[in-house]
Amino acid sequence: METKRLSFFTILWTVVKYLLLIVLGAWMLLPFYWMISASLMTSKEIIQMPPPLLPAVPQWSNYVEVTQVLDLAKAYLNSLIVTGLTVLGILFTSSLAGFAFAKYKFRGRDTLFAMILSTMMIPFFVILIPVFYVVKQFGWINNYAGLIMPGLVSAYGIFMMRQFIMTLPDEYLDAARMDGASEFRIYWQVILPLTGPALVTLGVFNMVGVWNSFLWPLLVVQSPDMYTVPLALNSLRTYGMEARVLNLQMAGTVASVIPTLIAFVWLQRYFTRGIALTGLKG
Amino acid sequence: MKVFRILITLIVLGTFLLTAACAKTASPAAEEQAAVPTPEPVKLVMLTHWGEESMLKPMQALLDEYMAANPNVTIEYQSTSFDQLLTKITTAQAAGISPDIYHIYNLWVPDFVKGGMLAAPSDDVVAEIKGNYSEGSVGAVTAAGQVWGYPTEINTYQLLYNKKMFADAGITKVPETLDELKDAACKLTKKNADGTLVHTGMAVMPGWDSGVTHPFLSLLWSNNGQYLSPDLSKSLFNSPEGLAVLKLYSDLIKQGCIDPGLGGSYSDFTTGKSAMIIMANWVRAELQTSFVDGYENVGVAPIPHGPSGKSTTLQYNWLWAVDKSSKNVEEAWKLVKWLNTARGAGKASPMGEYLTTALGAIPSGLSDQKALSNTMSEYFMAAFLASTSTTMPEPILVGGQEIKTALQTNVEAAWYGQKTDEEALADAAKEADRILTENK
Amino acid sequence: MGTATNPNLTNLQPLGKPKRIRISHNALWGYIFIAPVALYLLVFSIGPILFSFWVSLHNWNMITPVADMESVGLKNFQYILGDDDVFRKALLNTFRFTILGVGTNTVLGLCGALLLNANIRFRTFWRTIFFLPIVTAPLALGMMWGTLLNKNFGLVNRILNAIGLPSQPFLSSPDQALYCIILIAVYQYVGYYIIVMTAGLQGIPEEYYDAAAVDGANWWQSFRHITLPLLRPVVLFLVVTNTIGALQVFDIVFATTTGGAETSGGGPAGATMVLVLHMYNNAFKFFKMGRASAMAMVLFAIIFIVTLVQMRLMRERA
Repeated sequence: METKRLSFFTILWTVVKYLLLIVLGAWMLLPFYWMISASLMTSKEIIQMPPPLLPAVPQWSNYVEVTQVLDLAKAYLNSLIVTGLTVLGILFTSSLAGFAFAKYKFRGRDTLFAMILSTMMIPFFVILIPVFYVVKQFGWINNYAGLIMPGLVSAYGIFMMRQFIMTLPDEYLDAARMDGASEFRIYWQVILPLTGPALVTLGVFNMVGVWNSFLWPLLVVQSPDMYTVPLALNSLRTYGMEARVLNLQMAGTVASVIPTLIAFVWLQRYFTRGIALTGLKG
Repeated sequence: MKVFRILITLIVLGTFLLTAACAKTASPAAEEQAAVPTPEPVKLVMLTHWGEESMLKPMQALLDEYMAANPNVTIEYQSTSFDQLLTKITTAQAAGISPDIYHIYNLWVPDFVKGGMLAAPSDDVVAEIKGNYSEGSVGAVTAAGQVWGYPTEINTYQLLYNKKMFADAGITKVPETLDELKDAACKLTKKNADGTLVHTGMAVMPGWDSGVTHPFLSLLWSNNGQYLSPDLSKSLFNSPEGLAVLKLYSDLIKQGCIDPGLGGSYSDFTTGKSAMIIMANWVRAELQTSFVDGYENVGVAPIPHGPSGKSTTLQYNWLWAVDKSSKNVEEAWKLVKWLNTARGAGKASPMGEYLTTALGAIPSGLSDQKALSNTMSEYFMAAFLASTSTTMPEPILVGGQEIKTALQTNVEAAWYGQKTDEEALADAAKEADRILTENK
Repeated sequence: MGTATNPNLTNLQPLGKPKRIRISHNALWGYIFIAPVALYLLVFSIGPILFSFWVSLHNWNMITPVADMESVGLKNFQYILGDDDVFRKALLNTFRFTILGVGTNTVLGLCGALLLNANIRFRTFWRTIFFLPIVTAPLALGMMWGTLLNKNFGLVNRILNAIGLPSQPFLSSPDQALYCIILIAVYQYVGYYIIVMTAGLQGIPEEYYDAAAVDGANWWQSFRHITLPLLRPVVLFLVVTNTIGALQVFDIVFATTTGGAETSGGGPAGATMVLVLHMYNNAFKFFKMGRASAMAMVLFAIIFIVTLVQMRLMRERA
């Protein structure tokens, strides 16, 4: 933009831009202000009607209490293991299958792809019982396998990776084959590195989903030592009269949001680059 | 490339962990290990919705007591919140990992029985139950002609009112008839000078099936109306009596003495947004801690009755039941029996103690009620206890929950003016009849 | 963009067979790579879906053993599509939710992306703020917004009153409740839309805009003729995937309108009853898994058709 007119317009536009951002931002932050504020209130303050806007004295001890009442550390560990392995699984299976759908020609390929896509169209809890039954047959109730295995493949992920890999030039593959590379090595050493940003994107979004998943763990987990973070927070509801422990629940929720937030900030720059390259445009 | 290397390391780690996880067969931690393995070690799993700290400890104490006396028994106690209880039970059942003993809401019994899920108690247990519980309570745990477990809490509804608001409005007589209720509700509605609301006369609880249907049915029965035919073949609430009750609500709503959109829960009464509410006894705990004008200002009165009816309240119970697929049905029943049998002549049973202390609930057992008459003599408890002699049990049948929800949806539609009272009852009755026919 | 199987390559691999092998090398590896995923989906997805379909032709309370299910043929479907008033209401609500939710998010997302793409400082900071709702569990969001929108003492009403507007019933009103839910859903996902669209915007080469400026186009014209068309695939992806998700909405409604006791969700007079919630109630409250499965089949058909229509409509004409 060569013509830079420091006109009234430009200034006005800048002001408007920031104003809009602030309004939108405030809207985003509103519930979090409440969440943090509530997490620092005493149980008396929290059941007041109307509740105060800010706690009189911030009760940092709430955070300590939450960790005492729940084995939050164990829950964190469980959530970390489950989320980490599930996401890895999704990345691996999505990229492998996406690669196959994008760069290989075989009979029934498109039908198969359509079938996989259509599995996205069934709400999970409908197939809950049969999946539960399968999990039980394998002996995966109440252990990590039961929490991880059912989430290992994501149709959405396959879709996304396929789109992305389709944009990669075939020349890379041909060149590698010329060099005598096996198909699997092509996947490992050519495709995977190139799809880095897309993988990160897929990874972060799935990480959030798995971290927050509630219904499935609720059914699979039978003992508190296998609780994931959402289950642990949920068990707070029965800790005391619901209204009175809202402050503790909020403290727990704040604590559970932090890891995914950190991951996002850290991986943020891969994000938009990844999406831009995912060939969604094509 | 760096990302790539990280990925490799993570995948290797991941595979390692996954193998380790698969190899690990995490068994649920036992609450207490059997000290001395005697005859056959028996493990019993119990599931309830009593997970609150204040309720966990006393229950654990009871279980410890039993385990000390029966060293070969290990009891694992599980709890989940109420709204997940049913889901948990049904999915555990479907997967074949049911708990041995559960504490359930009696409305679920017919469906459990239909699915062959419950283990019938032995004849002596049945006789004991029939002998120590009121007709209503026994009926509440009977399905297909069989008694299925020990009733625990008995819950009824009464008219709760704010004594202070009554005094302020100059009302000296607590409403006894439906007309008086209508009158009082409007007298008790208070507005500010600028028209904003201070409090309404009576609160309702839309969005919650029991909250809507239980008070409605209580009023219906008190107005000499009927809910379902005794042989459960058709619905009977679409009648002049039913219409009168619904009209009572609608008229009060039109006049602004009831506001369905107020807050929608019993907390409306607790926080002073409403002067009256028809509600169950288990709200006592909240009233004790948070009632706006202090617990001493909570008044309890019988359900107002119609011209030709007498005050009747709905009753429902919770019960202990044993799972049929349990490997230790006999031991399970032994434990349940111990929990519900009086410790001695004139003494309360372990459950009786537990219910009255940890929960502030009313035990269904007649011997318990007598043994704990001291605790029961407190104003609130005494009033509800007295009401247990004028109850009609919530009918339990396959499809009962569905009918209840249909009734709730339609009553709410009438409250919000989306249907006329006649339409609402007619639609609810039509739906109820369909469900009844379907499940015959 | 397709995969051109170079026939010459089939000679290179060690199978040692002449060109006439039935499955080409390429196809073989395609199958191999697909195999684990296909197997997995068969066990954890396709199989269960087929089972669900089977169940939809029966009455099942999930407690009776599967072998003893009572067969009812198409009766479940007949009931759902004929007499189930609640299903009809849920369908309407779900459609309204989807159209308004996805629509609003698309527009807001685009605006937000445009904003963020323009010269803004602290871009990371803003992005993080918009991303906050996405990382929070729907349960927590539902709880928080439920409190904020409380008719009596919620913050939103307090703010409204402070600027002179009357209090609104929000979630307690059959008229406003659904819009509140839409608001919460928009709130949760707008960040996702913004981020994806930002990336899309950044993928448009600057040269196009420069060329347009040289030709004397103003902002609106370049927006209409450069930005929008080039963003189309991104928008398509967002709209299609999010419509599929929106039609299955559950978490937000469950978290906001169910709370303790035996609430069946669905808000005041069923104003926020959505399809999946109705399914859930049928399965886990009424013991009618057969009917719930039938509803799932119907929902599946709806989603399938809607997606097909969307893709036809929005596909690039190129």
